[in-house]
Amino acid sequence: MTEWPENSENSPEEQKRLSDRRHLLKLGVAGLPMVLTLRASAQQTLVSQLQCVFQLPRRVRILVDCDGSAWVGRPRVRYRSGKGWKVEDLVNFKSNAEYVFPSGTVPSGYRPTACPEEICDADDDDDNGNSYNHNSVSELDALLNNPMPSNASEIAAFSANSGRSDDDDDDCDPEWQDNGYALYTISKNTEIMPSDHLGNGGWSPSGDAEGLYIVLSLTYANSYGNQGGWPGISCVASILTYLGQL
Amino acid sequence: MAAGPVDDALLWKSSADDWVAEEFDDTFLVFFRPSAETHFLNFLSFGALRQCAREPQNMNSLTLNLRQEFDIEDAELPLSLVKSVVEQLDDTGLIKPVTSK
Amino acid sequence: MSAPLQQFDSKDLKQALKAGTFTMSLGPFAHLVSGSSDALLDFLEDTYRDYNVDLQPRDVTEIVLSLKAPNFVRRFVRRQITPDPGFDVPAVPLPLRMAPLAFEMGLNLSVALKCCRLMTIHAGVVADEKGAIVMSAASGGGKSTLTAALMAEGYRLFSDEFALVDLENASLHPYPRPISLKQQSIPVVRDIVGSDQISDLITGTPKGDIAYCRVKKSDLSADNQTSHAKLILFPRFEEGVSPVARMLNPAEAIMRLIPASTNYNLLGEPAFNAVVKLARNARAYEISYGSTAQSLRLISELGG
Repeated sequence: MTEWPENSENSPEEQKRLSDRRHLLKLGVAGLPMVLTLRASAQQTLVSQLQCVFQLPRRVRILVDCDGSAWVGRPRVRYRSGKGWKVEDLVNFKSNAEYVFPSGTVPSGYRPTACPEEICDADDDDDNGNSYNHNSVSELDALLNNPMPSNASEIAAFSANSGRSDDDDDDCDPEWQDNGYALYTISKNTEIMPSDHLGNGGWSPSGDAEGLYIVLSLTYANSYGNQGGWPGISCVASILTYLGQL
Repeated sequence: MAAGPVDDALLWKSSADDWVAEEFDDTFLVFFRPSAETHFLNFLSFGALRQCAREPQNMNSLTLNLRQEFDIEDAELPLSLVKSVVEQLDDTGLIKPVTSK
Repeated sequence: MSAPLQQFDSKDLKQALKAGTFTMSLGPFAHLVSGSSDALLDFLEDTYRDYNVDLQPRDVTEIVLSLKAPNFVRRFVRRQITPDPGFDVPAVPLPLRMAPLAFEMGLNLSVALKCCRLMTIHAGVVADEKGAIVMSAASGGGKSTLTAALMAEGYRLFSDEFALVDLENASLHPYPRPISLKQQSIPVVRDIVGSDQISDLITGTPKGDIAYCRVKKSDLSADNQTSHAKLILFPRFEEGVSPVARMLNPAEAIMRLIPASTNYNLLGEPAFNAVVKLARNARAYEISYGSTAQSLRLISELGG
């Protein structure tokens, strides 16, 4: 690397300036932008923040367990009527989840309505240190305006407990788990408008998968603000900022 | 606003009437009248803007002029960095390509 | 005839609010307010009791705010209220009892989006005889608490919400409305300024529990005395951190102030010139602190 000329007549200020410039050039070669533009303004934010819409770039699956933990990811989780969830898929989904939310995150209305009382041998569902505590109460439940409807369509469609009796507990198959989870799927390119889930002066997400996505977005924003890769977070964070909740 | 990939043969110019600049410790805030946008430039990108406002420059002449103006050795200011600066200025509209001087 | 609000009879105030002839002058703005909510009237009679109002409309009112039900049904069923500043804004309907919040939000929206003759920056501003301190922070950054604490220290309140910057000479215009306090800041400010300076608590709002800190009478009577910024601060409250200040290049300060402005893009070059002047004549710092006492000490050391 070429040395910069050292001029003994340079004042300390000038030497610092040259050193700063040299440093900046190095950063420029490394790809640092040399021009920054201020495009955003609070005016635009104020006008648009409640109208913002985001589109999910890919299909999102959200797995929820009885104590309100959630795993967000993409792998398939097989469910068979009469047998339940494929344990191998559950384990795979959890270990490959892109985002994991701790117990108590998901409000009760989105959780499965029946939870396993016994777990078959060789079951490793507890590998995340979760215990099935039916009494855990989501902080969000307290924050949200309206309690979630317990008969949300997705739960009816995907929750393992629907229409099943306790008799099945006796047929313990270590490869399948008959209840304890709810799975929500949101298609790729689904457009979500968070303000649809505002009402009566607060958050009141409807009990569908999009509502759950908003619930998780709120939790995510509370921890990470407008950072990270959670799809739609800047839209949700801007509304929270507007409402003074972030 | 950008003209696309930067061609070494293109001449780049800027109209000094289109912008107003304020210097703060070797950094420059530039208000660009046509877009009403404000840009934050460092000594190099502002130097390039000023050079293009003096007279249209191709990539080689701009690189040489910047090296001379700031007393920078060749290796410190490679052509690739100037090209990147030109692309960034082109994106803002502060400079634009012309076909001849 | 203009007079402090508390000198008017409740009935007359209510009638004027209903008829849309209630006018309030404050700082650079005249406001025309209408609404028929008792919660609004109660709030005005309590928190705005020393503000000069007029029950006859003026020829020119820059800010027109109407508080009304979002639709016909909400006038009767689970009654709601929403601020209508005369242009389309996505305001959240609020239960009727939250009329004070709708009023304050409506005024903020009006100033933020409609003011064209001053540059508006989302910031708290206080001043003493040596100059003004502008504090720009994201929501939750402790701006309101700090503003209230400085007010209690004897600084004149300009605004908890907006730095109103003159486009000619970058002087700051006072707009001393009650300071909006949220959640944890309420007990902190109550301890500093005393309970009698805090409005009743409004619970369960979208911003959580909120209350308003009253403005000193002397600040209201000085609402036409402008000042120049001496300090621009970007405060950040963080539980447990040691107090620290980092001086900013004015260009960096401007880069932070511009996105905090609600009308910079609208005003263009005059706003650019104004914010440059504002920052050139002041020193700018980013400050972090873990308690209000620390922040006050820090500001004092910085020449506040």
